[in-house]
Amino acid sequence: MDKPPRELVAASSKPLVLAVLAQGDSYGYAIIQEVKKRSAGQLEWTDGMLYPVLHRLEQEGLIRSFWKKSETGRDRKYYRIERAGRKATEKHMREWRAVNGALEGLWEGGVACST
Amino acid sequence: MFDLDKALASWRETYARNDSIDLDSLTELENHLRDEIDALMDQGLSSQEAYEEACAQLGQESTLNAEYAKVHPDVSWKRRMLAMLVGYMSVGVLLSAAGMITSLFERVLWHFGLDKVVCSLPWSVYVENSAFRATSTEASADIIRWDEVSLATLLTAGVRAVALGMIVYLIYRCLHGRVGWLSKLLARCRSAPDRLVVSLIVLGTLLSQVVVGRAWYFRLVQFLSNGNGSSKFGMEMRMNGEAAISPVTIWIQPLAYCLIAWFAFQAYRKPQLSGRYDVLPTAICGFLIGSVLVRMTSFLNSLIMVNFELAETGFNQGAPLAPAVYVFSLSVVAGAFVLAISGRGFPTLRRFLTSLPRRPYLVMTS
Repeated sequence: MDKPPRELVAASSKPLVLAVLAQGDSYGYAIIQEVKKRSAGQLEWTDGMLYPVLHRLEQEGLIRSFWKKSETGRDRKYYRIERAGRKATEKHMREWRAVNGALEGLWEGGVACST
Repeated sequence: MFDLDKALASWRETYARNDSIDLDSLTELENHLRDEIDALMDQGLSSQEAYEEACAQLGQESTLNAEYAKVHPDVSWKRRMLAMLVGYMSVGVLLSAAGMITSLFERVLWHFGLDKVVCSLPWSVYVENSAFRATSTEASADIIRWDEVSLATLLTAGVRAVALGMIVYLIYRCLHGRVGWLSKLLARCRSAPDRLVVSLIVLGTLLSQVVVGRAWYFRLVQFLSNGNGSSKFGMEMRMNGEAAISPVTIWIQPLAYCLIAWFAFQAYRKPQLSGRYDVLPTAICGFLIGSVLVRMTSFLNSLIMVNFELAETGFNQGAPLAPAVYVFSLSVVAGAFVLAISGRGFPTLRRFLTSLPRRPYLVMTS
């Protein structure tokens, strides 16, 4: 199966990051792994691109970051979701469900494969 | 034999040249890389394979830098401003040092009664002004007298040299991402290592200016107590390399212009110059901008002191209000810098700065 196009990956990155963080504090590498796992490897980001997304979310006040020592002794930058971030997650949920619902309804009517 | 730590260190150094990725982001990316390498090595890859695979997954350096630039448009400007401040201050220190060396040299010559030689020196201001030559020769009796004024001057140069050394060292370490023992200090203010460096620079500059102000104060006191005081002025102005119109300026400024022209030429010829090259032209720009500001201060100064004896000779730095004007303008500039960089003020200025093209010398020379 083909991987989703770049536009879709880009559009879904914010809701995905927020959804992962809504489950608990996390750091960049773990967020990427979580998304890979949840999408069964279908959604693969260029790893580095996640960080500007995280920084943008932080600037928007949806998440905040803090440094903590990891078990390996390295300083790691963790991210935590803020109240505004949870609200944004709910909004994303409604929007994506609306799109998803519309598509599902249409697809249930049968996808015309004849060309 | 592949050395993972060395490879990562060199990776860090390469990435540190991207002007939009700051120190924190660099550490974050490096940690990501290390996590990925660990995971890949657990899967059975060799350290070299894991390193190469992890780097490839991280994405292209230039694309990444561009993404960071969109989110943090101010980072590259912070670096530029740091380089500018360094450029300005280093020239100031060089001029002070050169001025002190030349005046010491002259004093020694004078001490041995070689005042004619001093007057014939190519940079000597006494040749241009006979009044000064006469008064200076009269004052030659106490040439090697380290009074308070010259002590203040020494102190100024010392503070500046220390501040400059500190600044250059900090910038070098920060730009290359190798902070060593400094990382512990910076870790305490993780969110803003740049801000810390900027504050240190501004503090250093202000401190040195306070000392300069003190030197002016002593000169003023001396002038008032002497009645005319011009003889002292003649000497002391030569002592303070920066306050006097130093002949070195005449040599350094064309050199700076040549350098900046050369870098502008290089930039047009090879638009892909790496960050390491950006520092020098930016520093030179900083020197030029700083010089313009100082000249403006001098101009303001000369407007204030119309009836001052020295104004006629062209040496207008001894004005009674000079320290006040100087400190005021300096505080305004320093305050603007700090506010603009810390992101607390001047949103319009910040927007304007960040909307400019990204190559600093093209910005400055256009």
